[in-house]
This record gives sequence, C-alpha cells and structure tokens, in this order.
Amino acid sequence: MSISQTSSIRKLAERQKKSKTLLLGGLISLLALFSLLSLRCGSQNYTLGEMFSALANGEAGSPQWRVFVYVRVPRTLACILSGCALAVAGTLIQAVLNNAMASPNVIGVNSGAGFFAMLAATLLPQMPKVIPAASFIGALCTALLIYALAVRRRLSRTTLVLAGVTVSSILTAGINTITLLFPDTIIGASGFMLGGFSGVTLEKMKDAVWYIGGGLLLAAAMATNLNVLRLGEETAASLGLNVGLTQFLSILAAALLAGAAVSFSGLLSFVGLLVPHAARRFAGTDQCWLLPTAAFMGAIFLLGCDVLSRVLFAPFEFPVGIIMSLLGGPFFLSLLLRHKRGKIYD
Amino acid sequence: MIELIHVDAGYGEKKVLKDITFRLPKGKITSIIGPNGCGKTTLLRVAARQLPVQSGAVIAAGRPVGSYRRKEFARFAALMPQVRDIPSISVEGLVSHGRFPYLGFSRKMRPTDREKVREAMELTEVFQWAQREVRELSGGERQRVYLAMVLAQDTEVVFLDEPTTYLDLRHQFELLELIEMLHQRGKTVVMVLHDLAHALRYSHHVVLMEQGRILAEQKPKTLLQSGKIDRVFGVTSHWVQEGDSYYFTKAKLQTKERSGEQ
Repeated sequence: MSISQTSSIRKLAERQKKSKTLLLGGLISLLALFSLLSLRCGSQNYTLGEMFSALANGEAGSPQWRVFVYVRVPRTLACILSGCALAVAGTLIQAVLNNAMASPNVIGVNSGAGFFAMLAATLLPQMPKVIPAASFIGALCTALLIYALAVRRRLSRTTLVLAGVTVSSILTAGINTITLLFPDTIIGASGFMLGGFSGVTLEKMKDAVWYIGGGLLLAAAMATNLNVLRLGEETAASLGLNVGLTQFLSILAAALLAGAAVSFSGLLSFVGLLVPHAARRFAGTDQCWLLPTAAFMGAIFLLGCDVLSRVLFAPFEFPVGIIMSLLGGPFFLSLLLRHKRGKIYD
Repeated sequence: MIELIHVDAGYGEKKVLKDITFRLPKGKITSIIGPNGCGKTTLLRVAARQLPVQSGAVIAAGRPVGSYRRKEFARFAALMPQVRDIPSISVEGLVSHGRFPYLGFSRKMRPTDREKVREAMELTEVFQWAQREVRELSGGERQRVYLAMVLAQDTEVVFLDEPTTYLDLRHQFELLELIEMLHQRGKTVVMVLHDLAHALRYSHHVVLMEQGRILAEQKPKTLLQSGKIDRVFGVTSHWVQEGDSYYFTKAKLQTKERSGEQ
C-alpha cells in the first residue's frame, strides 16, 4: 500500500466527516430560522420586536406578552419536541425491525398511545397528569406486540407491516368509539385524530418533556449498538452484542418518544415515516449521524408545516396534518421513485 | 481450546446434534463436512456460543462458555455466518465493527483499534476499497471484507460457515489462501465446507458428520482412504492425488443404502 494511496483514503474519510458536520450545522441554522418564523407568524400580526420588547419590559398583561408566552412559545416548543421525538422514534423502529416500511404510525404505536391517552382522559378527567404516562404505556404495549410478532413468529417484512396496519386500525376504532361515547373528553377529539398544535399549552407538555428527554438519551446510548445490529443479528451476536437487550431498549426509547409526542400533539401521521427516509438520504445508515439528523429534520419539518398552517388562510388555521401530507406525500413519493427497484427495503 | 462434551443441541423441540463429544485441535485448520442437513452449521454455532446446548457442556479455554460475558467471548472466538444482510456501509466501517468487543463504555475507537483495522484491511488486501460501499463489491470481494472484520476482531479461534460458497474459482482460492494465512498467524480455524477437494487440501483435520453425529475425525488422507466419506454421501467415488491436492474424478450413486432412509 503506497503512502499516497493511504493518505488519499484518509482525506476522503475526513471529507465525508466534514460534510456531515456541515450538514448538522446547516440543520441547526435552519432550525433556528424556522423557530423564529414560528414565533413570528400567527393570527395576531405582532412583530418579533414588539413581542421581545414587551417581554423585556415585563409588560405581563399586554396582548403582545400574552400571545408570545401563552401561544407562540408553547406552540414552537411543541413542534420541535414532537417533530424530533416522532422522527427519532421512526428511525429507531425502522432499525430494530430492519424494515424501512415501519414507522410509529404504520405499526400502530401512535394509535396505541392515542387510545390509552384517550382512555385516561375519559376515565380520569380530573387527572390530566396521567395522560403522558398512559400514552407511553399504550405506545410501549403496541410496540412490544409488533416486536414480538416480528421476532417470535418470524413474520416477513410485508406481513409485519400488514399486521401493524391492522393493529393500528383496531386501536383507531377504539379511539373513535371513545370520542363517540364521550364527546366531551378534555382532549379535543377531532384535532387529536388529525394531529396538531392549536390548543397546546406548556402545562400539557410539561411532563411529556421528561419522557422525550429520557427517550432521546436512551436512543443516543443505543446508536453504536444499532450500528452493529445492522450487520444482521447473527454477526452482531458473534461480535458480542446483546441483541435482545439492544432491541428492547431501542423499542422502549421509541415508545417513550412516540407516546410523549402523541400525548400533546395527537396522531400526526407522516413524520415518523418520511423524516427517517429523508435523513438516511443525507446522513447514511450510521446511527450516530442518522439519529441527530432525523431529530433536527423532524423538528424543522413540523415547524415549517405548522407555520404554513397558520399563514396560508390567516386568520383561519388549516390543520397541520393536511399540510404535512400535501407537502410530504409528493416528496416521499419522489424519494421512493429515485431509489432503484427494491432498494428502499434496505 | 474449545471442547464439546456429550452435547445435544437443536432448535426448539428439534434435536439436531446428538451426543457430540469433540475437542478442537489448537492452531490447526479443521473442516466440518457432511451431507446437507446433518448439523454442520449447528455444530459451528454451538461451538461459537451462538446456540445454547440442550444438554452437555461446551468448554472454552477451561471454562464453560456460559460463564463468559458476551464481549469477553467475542474477544476469544469470531464467527463468520453464511447468510448475512449486507447493510449500506463502507468497507472501513464494516471492518471497524470487528473492534466492537474491545470498545469501552464510550464506544470510541482508540489508536490501537484503528491500527488493528488498518492491518486487517491490508492483510486481506481490501484497503484500496476502504471508502467504497460493501454493496458495490462482488461476492468474493465482500467475503474478503468480512474476513477482514473477523481478523480485526483479533481472536484466537475463527469459525467460518461456508466461506467459499457462491464464489467463482479464483475467489474461492483467494479466500482459502487467506484462511491459510490466518492459520500461519497462529489462529485456530474451524470451517464448514461443501467442497470436499477444498476441505481435504486446505485442512489439517476433517470432521465427518452424519445425521447429527460425528462419524469420524481424522487427517484428510486417512479419512479419504477409510471410505467413510463415500458411505456418508452415498456414492462410490474415484479420486486421484496430485501433490497435496485431491481430485474427485468420477462418482457412482449408491442407490441401495439411500432408499431405506426415504
């Protein structure tokens, strides 16, 4: 091996690393930009300057202050948290099931979370604090059920997705039954099914933040293990990886994330499927890069869609779920078609 | 070294290996041969601690394999399974995974780990592809990359499950030469091989299996002369020896013995 060859290979590796660092830098700047946009846009046309000065001068009662603190900030945070959580949950689920068609929405994790959240909200209306916990338990139960099917019954990838879709529609029927029987549950029912951020408050998100934080930490801890797992279970095991534990903890992290996101943002459908795919296009399959890339892209995507939902027909608000599908659908299709035949199942 | 004592093993209720007792010859190349479904891969997986036994014991370096921690065993023995998902990953990325059992809690590669990875890539001559996608490579080239990963794992024992299957002739020999090199570097190699000529030419010790049992384990030539290979495979073969190579020139099917089994 000649020295020049060695150094040119080194250089190539460094260049790739540099481009990935650049990618993350770009994503962080985009996130900052979209956050400012989200703080700025809405039915009340206050400029950022007006709101910041109201904040700085401590005009606690002024309309600018109230809109900023009670509407714009919670909403922006909700978009970031939920986008980040659902995208990372989707990435984890796809890695564990080794199935690019899977996502928290497709395999019923979201509807499991939604069903339990709805149940908690109906049965214990005085205790809104249990909603994130119930949501997490619902997400975990559904995820473990699908995982057990995948591992124990050795379902093929397609069968697994079909099983997930079936579980999902059973749970959705459950949610619909509850909303029909108890139309006055504290979770706004119609908004919950489509997903969105219009009624979100800091109070609603307060507990979910802990779940998301925990889920992200666990996901980060699993990144290297998931990298080894992508070599296949047998090779991973012979390298000394505890395959079962890695899969279980990753599912746990995904359930924490998806459950928490659903508890305050409802059944947002597309993020968990679309964003991991888009992120893989940019970051590859190395989870150490893929997970953060997906997290940022999820947050940016949801912020962008939510801002559009507020400004398109202002002062009326358009459901963010619809925008997401209208924007994300064609993008996802083009992503699929750009892959060679069959390659999407990586 | 690794030793199996009265081992029964299989999947679920099914018993694939029946009362296997076997000691792995240290520092040698051992090939496991036998008809399809006789339990070769199962034997490999049991010895490599990938499949728990139903009864009996597997001892590695004087300790039962169950007493090893996962990564500890992965520093002692490596397994290259036959069927693999080929992920989207660079050659260097894949070979680096061979260092996984050595990484600490932070999972960071130290300079010594990088050195081992580079050395493994050079010995297997895959260094020039370091940044290429493993998927872009041909079957034979991929096999070399996987062997580089096993080499980076830096273990005393190496298990290979049909390393030459599906490869063209040139790549088969390339790989077998690399396996020879592993032996020269002091490793104990155990492999499942389908090609009898390869098994006889490249190994010091051959294990002949039939229906979950070990029928014989001997030096290649002794085994060949004993006629047991013919009996197990249900053929009458003619072979010639040239140097240290064996060629099977003609084989007649023995119909009588097989018909009773069906």
